[in-house]
Amino acid sequence: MLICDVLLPGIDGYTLCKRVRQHPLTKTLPILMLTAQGDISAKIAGFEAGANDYLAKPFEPQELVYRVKNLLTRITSDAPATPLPRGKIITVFGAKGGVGKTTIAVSLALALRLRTRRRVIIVDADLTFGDVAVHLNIAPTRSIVDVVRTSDEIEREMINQVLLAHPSGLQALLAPPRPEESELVNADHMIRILDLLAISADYVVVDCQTSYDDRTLSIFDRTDHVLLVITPEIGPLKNTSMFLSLAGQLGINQRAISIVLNRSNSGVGIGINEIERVLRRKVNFHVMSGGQPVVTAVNRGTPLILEQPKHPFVQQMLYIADQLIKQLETAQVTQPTPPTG
Amino acid sequence: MKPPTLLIVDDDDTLAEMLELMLRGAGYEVRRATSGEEALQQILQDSSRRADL
Repeated sequence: MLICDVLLPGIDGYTLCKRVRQHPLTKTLPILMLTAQGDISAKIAGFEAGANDYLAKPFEPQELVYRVKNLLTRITSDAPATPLPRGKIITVFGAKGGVGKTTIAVSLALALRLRTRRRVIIVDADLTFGDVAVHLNIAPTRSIVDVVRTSDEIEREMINQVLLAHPSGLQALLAPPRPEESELVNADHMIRILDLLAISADYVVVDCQTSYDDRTLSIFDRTDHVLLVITPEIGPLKNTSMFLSLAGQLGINQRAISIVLNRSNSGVGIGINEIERVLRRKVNFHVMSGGQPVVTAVNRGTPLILEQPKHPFVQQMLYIADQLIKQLETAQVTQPTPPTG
Repeated sequence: MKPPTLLIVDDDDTLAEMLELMLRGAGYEVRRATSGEEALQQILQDSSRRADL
């Protein structure tokens, strides 16, 4: 461990700190900084440079000994032998608009929250016209755009501050309130935000926009499982087929994609056999049209899952949640190591 | 297990010497450097050999 004064001949204490943090061999070395009394800006600069603790001069030597002891215990017990536990990112995607993607994303997030009581975050990544806020009846006072507008470097704490809470315990990162602001969010932001959310939450459900821009691709890059929502109609079916071949090119494992056939009972559409023949794979989940109660629930901003637990639509969503929980627990996912923000 | 090694970087010799005595008394192995450059050199040399500094 390193104990260093701020004022030194040659490079100063901050620079020393930064250099130590930059070097792969020494970046985790505990650092205690000695600063002048009451100099708040020196203290902040020290932490920014990477110091773990500081002590203002003059100090009682005994205090230094305790600080050293504490810091060493803290750092060694913090130091993870394995990478930080990472929550699972589930992306809900519709190859065409109007297939009920947001209803399913919101219901899934709530189902995961109800089933596990763990920390679940829904991300409205339908950046231009997202309406997760409407489904959950949350006043959109803060959104993803506040994170990217504040600074170039996105920190975990900044994201925590813009999350909005739903009475169910679910948390939401909303889309920008104004469509034109969606342009402020770029692909790098998306990656950084998802990485930070994944280390904060057990499940991150992403309501993804129906487009193939680089922000969507960066979402897929970080996704553990894709829920691909289709309806029994020719338009969605054709687009879904195209998406599946694109997913192959993107290196998304076919097993990491589940197809959800929504409104499978609408009676006017294409039969299940025909759908599976066109897509050349099985439909994983069937969701019956929730009908009027689902629409009413959306309009009132009270998701059906919280009001009518016995409703068939709710039962199906809970079933999907259970299956995903099981599948993601056992899946050996190889993901890039997230930054520790 | 060897005690953790501490490196004190301070150009104030009197203070550094006092700290060294205190920390040795608390059971740590202590070394000193008087400049940032010297500290970096020591840290890097040590880190390539052992992990706890």
